Amino acid sequence: MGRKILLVDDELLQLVLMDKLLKNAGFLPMRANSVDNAFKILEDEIPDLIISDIEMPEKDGFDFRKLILEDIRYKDIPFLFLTSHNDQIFIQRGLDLKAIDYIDKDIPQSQLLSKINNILVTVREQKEKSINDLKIVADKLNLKNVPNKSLKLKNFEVDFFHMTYQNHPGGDFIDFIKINDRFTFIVLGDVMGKKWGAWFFSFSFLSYIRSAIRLCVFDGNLSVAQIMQRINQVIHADDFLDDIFATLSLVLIDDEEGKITYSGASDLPVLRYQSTEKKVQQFKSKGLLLGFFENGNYTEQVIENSKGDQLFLLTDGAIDYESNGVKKTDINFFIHQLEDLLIEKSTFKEITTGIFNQEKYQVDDCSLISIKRI
Amino acid sequence: MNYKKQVLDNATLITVNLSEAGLNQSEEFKNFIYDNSSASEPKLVIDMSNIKYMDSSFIGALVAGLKHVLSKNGEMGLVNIQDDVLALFELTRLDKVFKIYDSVEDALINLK
Repeated sequence: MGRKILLVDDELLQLVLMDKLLKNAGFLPMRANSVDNAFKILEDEIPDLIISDIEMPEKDGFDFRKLILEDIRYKDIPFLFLTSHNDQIFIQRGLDLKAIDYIDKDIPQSQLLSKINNILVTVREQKEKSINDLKIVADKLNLKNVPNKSLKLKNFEVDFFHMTYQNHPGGDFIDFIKINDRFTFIVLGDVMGKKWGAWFFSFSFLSYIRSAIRLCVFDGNLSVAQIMQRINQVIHADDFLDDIFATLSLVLIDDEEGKITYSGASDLPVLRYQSTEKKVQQFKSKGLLLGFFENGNYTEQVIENSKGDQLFLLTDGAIDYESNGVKKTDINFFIHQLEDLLIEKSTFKEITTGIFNQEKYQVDDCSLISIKRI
Repeated sequence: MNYKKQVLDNATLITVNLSEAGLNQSEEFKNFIYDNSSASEPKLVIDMSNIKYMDSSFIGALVAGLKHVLSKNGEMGLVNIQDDVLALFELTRLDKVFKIYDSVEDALINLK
């Protein structure tokens, strides 16, 4: 995926030339002929770099930079001044406004591209370093919102796939809670939102879910609908999660009886592939978003399964994608792809690499759990 | 401006001028709803006709906005939802959480 660069210049010729140069180098330029138009673009798209002219009518490049620095959404976007001014006072003014660099419009094209590349590489490395530092701390604190490994039961194989969004942890969370040799709970949730904000809250939701399951099991209650209602009650009562919401798919595997019971909260349907019929069927739940109402209207259903059948739980990131610059949500497209791969007897690894590939750019973190009857 | 506000006789109409509504706009949108529901028993109608794609961050902001409005004994209705977005709402039962109407007029008649 090419890096997005916002070009701001009132001279059309300069804009077109830069646009062409950057496109040829594999970048995705966005053009604005004024500061006001640049902000219109920024409302829809956050670029990886902004390159701005200084001399422009009405608001100039310095005004633009000041406005950018005042806005928390944009202040961290790397910013480069590209101008015909090479006066030291101008250069100092630009650098005082925390612009990364100040480049003369007459700079040779190869040097300009090298500078842009160097800036983007440095920024990416810094970002990855910060993320890695946080990941190390999270690991030390044993903060995990996905399991370490897949699960093998007597009658079922449970596999999972989890892909982060732009290398940031997100709101999806997965857990396998083995009660005893007979009963195992499969948890798949999604905190609404993206990146760190959602990731942070996923641990609060996971704590409540783990506790509610354990407490219900201690009381001899194995009804997934009632456990879901219990989870909902505590989340609804927590002011800390007042404006944070999550979806949840909760499945109980009875490994002795080979029985699967499912309850959901505003989640996507559970998909079942029957090896004899070679068809994927949807099982929709009725429950509402966790924490919104005191009573989320949770019900449960038994999903029949035979040897060779496979169930799939998924989060919305699995059905959201970007194609030709347009974002879409399409579960039927996902089901169609899944069905084709399952008919070809693809392994779980082949399914995930077949669906979540570079051709379809994913726009959120996404998770898929497979429960296969063996 | 991504959001336009119009004060009608008995409700505030908010038009969302976004074709893709996502993370970048969600916080601003939530605050816009909060700011426009500060009165007691607020009535909001959200015109979603421009939105072709909505991600979970924006849906989260919409749900948080609804919760805020309901906590003040108000009401919020969504109108002119495009088919793809409506399909997602139906798939995830959000159509049971929100009051959804075909048009602004319809919403104004039905919101008490």
